Amino acid sequence: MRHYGDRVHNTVLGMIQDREEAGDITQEVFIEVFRSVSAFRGESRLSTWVYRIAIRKSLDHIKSKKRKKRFGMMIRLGFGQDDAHEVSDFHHPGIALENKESAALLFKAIDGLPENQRTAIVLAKIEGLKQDEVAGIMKLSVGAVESLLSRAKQKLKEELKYLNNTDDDGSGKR
Amino acid sequence: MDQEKDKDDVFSPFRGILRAPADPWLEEKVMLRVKRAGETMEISLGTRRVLSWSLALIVVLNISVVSLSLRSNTSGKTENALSQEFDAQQSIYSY
Repeated sequence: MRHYGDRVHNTVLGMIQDREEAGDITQEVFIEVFRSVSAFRGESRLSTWVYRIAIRKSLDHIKSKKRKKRFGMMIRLGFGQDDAHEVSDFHHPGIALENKESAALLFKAIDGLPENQRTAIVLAKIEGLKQDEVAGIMKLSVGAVESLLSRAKQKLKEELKYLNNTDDDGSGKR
Repeated sequence: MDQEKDKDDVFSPFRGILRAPADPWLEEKVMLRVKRAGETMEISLGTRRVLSWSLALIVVLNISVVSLSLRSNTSGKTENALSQEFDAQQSIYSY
């Protein structure tokens, strides 16, 4: 656990962008690792298997959070309340101070990406894994990961352009 | 040149990013949760056992009560039949 603790936590944190929730999910990942370690057949590396669990748990958490958000929005609309709510910026603790603002914008943009693009970016750019390792974790070919990353990059460029403009306007609304 | 490339790179804010350290008490917390989960499983197993035994007992009791009542009904019917026959005989003798 000492060996994988930081890796799992960093991956989960990159995926869900919330420190407290990331702590809980990291614990859940290791509980599952403990429970199902006997089922690990050694077909892949242990790290690959652990990363897979971390990604799966994070994606499950994101989905359930989205469901709750949708439900909450419906209730607010039902009660005729204003549904405008502030989305707080996420600051990753490992980012250099001079990059904090731009990284927060980038994380906001990553939050809007599809699951697989988001996963590829977190593993390759935040966790710093090689493309073949990312491919192994995501059960894809290296070429597929490359294309995922380039598509994600394209989307992020557009999203960042938009976010920078709205930031200049100070409106913050779409 | 490199700086220009950096500016163009979307991921430049992530350059030199360090891993976010995990909770120093992670191991202890996980072990505690694993232990608690085991205890809960044991408790639920015990509860399930007690429940299944009590259910079996209720079924057995029900069956025995039903069979007893059936038996008493049958014997009651026999008694009724006999008493009618006795009455008939009595009435014949009385003639």
